[in-house]
Amino acid sequence: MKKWLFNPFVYIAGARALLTGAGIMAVTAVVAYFSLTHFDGVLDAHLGDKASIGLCFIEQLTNLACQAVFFFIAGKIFSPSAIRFIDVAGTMALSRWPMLLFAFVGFLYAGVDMSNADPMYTLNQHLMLIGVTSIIGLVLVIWMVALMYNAFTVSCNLKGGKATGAFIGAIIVAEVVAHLFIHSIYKHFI
Amino acid sequence: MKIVLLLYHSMQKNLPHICPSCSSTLRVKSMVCEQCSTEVTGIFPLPLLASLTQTEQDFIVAFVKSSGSLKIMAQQLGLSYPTVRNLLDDIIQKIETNEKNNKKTSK
Repeated sequence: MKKWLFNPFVYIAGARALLTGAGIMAVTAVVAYFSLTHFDGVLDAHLGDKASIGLCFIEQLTNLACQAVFFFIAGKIFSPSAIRFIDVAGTMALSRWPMLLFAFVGFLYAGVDMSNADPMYTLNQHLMLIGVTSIIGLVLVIWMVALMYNAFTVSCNLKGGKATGAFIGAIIVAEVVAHLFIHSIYKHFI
Repeated sequence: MKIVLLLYHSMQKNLPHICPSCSSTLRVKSMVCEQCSTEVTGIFPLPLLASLTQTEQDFIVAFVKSSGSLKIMAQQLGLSYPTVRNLLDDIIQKIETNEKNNKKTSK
């Protein structure tokens, strides 16, 4: 059970993982559209802003593309094995599945007025809700990062310090590029 | 069936290949014919594959039986393709290290 929760890539990778992951990401995009949730970066998740369904799909696609490309490059540089792009892309797509749960968390905010200009007033009014969603969000993001790390080590055959270093480097670059790209196209969709 | 196999594996003796005293590679000193008790003595190097664990040897046998297809092996073992490839790469790395050590010892 623990293996399936944190390292399912031992059993599933390649095209099968990519199709499953892409399917989950498509559902995530639709749920995110209705729950006003945004994933404007590989590690980013925000609640409360309305946007078009197109943007929700572009966010998912951008995050996956950045993860797959930069982790593949890191794997090519550091791995002694002949790694395949389909394995990196597939495992990375599947590693994002906790974000589907986060998209559902967005429904907790439905009907809550967060438009007050004073952030302290909003915080005091909805302290419990903000606290609970923040904790759930943090747990889900940590879970996703753990999945991403295992996806990277399995698909690129890396271990130990080399794996950790390459992972940190690749995730920072992927996060920055995805975040900048998504924010550069926001004006066309909002 | 599984229990019988487990018992068989637990009773099997593992061929030692590393000296417990100085950690050097062990050599075969004598071999005996069980039929006529003829004994051959000398210093023979262990076959390369004998220095691998039983699990690794089983993996190599399965690899050969599946005609070297990692995809078929992955299906048979119920594992993903990169996991099987990683196992194979780890064995390759271990064999290469053993080869280097053997060369050093024979010099």
